[in-house]
Amino acid sequence: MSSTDNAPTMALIVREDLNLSTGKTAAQCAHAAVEIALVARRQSKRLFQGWREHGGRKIVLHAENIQALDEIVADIAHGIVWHLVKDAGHTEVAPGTVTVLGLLGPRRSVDRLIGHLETL
Amino acid sequence: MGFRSFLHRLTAPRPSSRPSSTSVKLVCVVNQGLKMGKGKLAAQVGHASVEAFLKSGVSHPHHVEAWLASGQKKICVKVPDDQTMNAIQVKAQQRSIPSLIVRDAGHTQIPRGSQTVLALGPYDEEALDLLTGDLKLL
Repeated sequence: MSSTDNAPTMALIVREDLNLSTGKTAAQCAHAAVEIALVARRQSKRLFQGWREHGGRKIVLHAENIQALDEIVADIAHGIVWHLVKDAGHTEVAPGTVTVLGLLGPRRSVDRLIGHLETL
Repeated sequence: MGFRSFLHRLTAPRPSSRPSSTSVKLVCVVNQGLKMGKGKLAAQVGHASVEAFLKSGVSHPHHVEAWLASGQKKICVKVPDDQTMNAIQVKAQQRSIPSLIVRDAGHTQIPRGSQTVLALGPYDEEALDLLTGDLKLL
């Protein structure tokens, strides 16, 4: 098995019950991606560098609601960097609303968490 | 770059590149001509944002610090095609506004090398508004 099979992957999981617009969805996903990159660079340099070297792979999926995100968070294993985006509430949603869950980890660990979800 | 030298770059005085206003933002200009799906587009904007913040962290560290400290303000606007996107980047370069264009690896939906997103900033809001203020929000 080549090393790319388990190369670090970022998964961005959007709450579909909020019905965010395309632009809002993109901005929230970008927020998660930047936040995770910041944390990973500080806490898990090897993961961060591996992710960058393999092209910064990202996949965007959707989940039903906040409970669905919470269930994924509860299953997160050691070695995965994650972040829940809470919106400032300037547009579309109320302040503090969780919009996106972002994960970064070895591909197989991430796949185990998101295998039941569909891509957006 | 080592962590210490990165820290040094962040803290070293660089008077010419300090934010001139209190508000710093990142603008993602999306190529609407490619007709990307919602998820594809979100991934491309995510990619652009990470690249822009890492690149500008070196060239414009004070802007990036201000941007991170103020909640990472970012907006997504759209242009119809590559030409419009390129013209905006040329103007940004003339004004020394940090910019980069994401070219897709072509694994899904669109041809390899397509210009998906132009990232501008993080930089002073007024300077960015002169370039992108008349573009429609995504």
